[in-house]
Amino acid sequence: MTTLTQLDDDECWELLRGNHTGRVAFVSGDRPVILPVNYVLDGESIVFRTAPGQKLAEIPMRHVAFEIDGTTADGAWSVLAQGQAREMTNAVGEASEALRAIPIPIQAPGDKDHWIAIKVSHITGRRVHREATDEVGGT
Amino acid sequence: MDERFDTEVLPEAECWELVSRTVVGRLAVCLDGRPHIFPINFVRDADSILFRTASGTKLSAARDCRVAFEIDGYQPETGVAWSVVVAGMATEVRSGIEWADVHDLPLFPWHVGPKGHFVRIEADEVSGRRFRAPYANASGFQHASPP
Repeated sequence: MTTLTQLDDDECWELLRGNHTGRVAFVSGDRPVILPVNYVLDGESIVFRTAPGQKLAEIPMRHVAFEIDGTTADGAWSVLAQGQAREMTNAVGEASEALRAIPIPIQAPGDKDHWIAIKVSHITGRRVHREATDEVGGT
Repeated sequence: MDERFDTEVLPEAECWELVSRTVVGRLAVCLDGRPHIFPINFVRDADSILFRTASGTKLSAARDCRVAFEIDGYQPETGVAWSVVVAGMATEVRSGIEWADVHDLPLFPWHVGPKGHFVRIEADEVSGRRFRAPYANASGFQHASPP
């Protein structure tokens, strides 16, 4: 037996704050693209760094989706955020400079001089709780 | 930079090996021109990914469309992180024989509810990479390495 619970906004934000690896998806032409990123949460923005290339060229100023998930001893959870992505690399102002000073805990190697921020406009989450008697593979 | 930290592009066979050993992935679809991500339980079947779903937005956004699929993992002991992305057309499994074949696959459902449909992603692009995170620590990633 499994039960599905919707997470409230506070729980979703807490999970976003407490994790540092997620996946960003965007539409390129008419195709979906998904990439893992390391991120930090800054206020209501998901911030990550990226190297020049497809990720950078495609993401800024687009509507994107962002997902994190995890497993627990008795189930799993996921959070999906959606919002507009902006490149913050050369943005001026105190807030942008502060954002660029945020340390991101884990980084893939290589130069990652470009900063992208996703301003979250919509967030949902859910938790699946699995009863202890459940067998994996059941329905 | 220390070359241990360089990103390694994974050969396709190794990407599939990681797909075989992983049970949770993320499906990315376009819905009304916008991207959506769904976590899914899946199994690998040759060069395809199979998952179950109920009728709904996931099914209608994926069926007969090009989709992308992602898995990743991290080993805190070694600091090694990896990811694999598969892209291809998603089609619903409809033929009786094929449906019978996939029906008994060990697809643990991500959430409750009827899961009457099987969807196959026929891969036409597979890419993967692996790197050692220079500043790795156990708190940064939630996913353990595949069993």
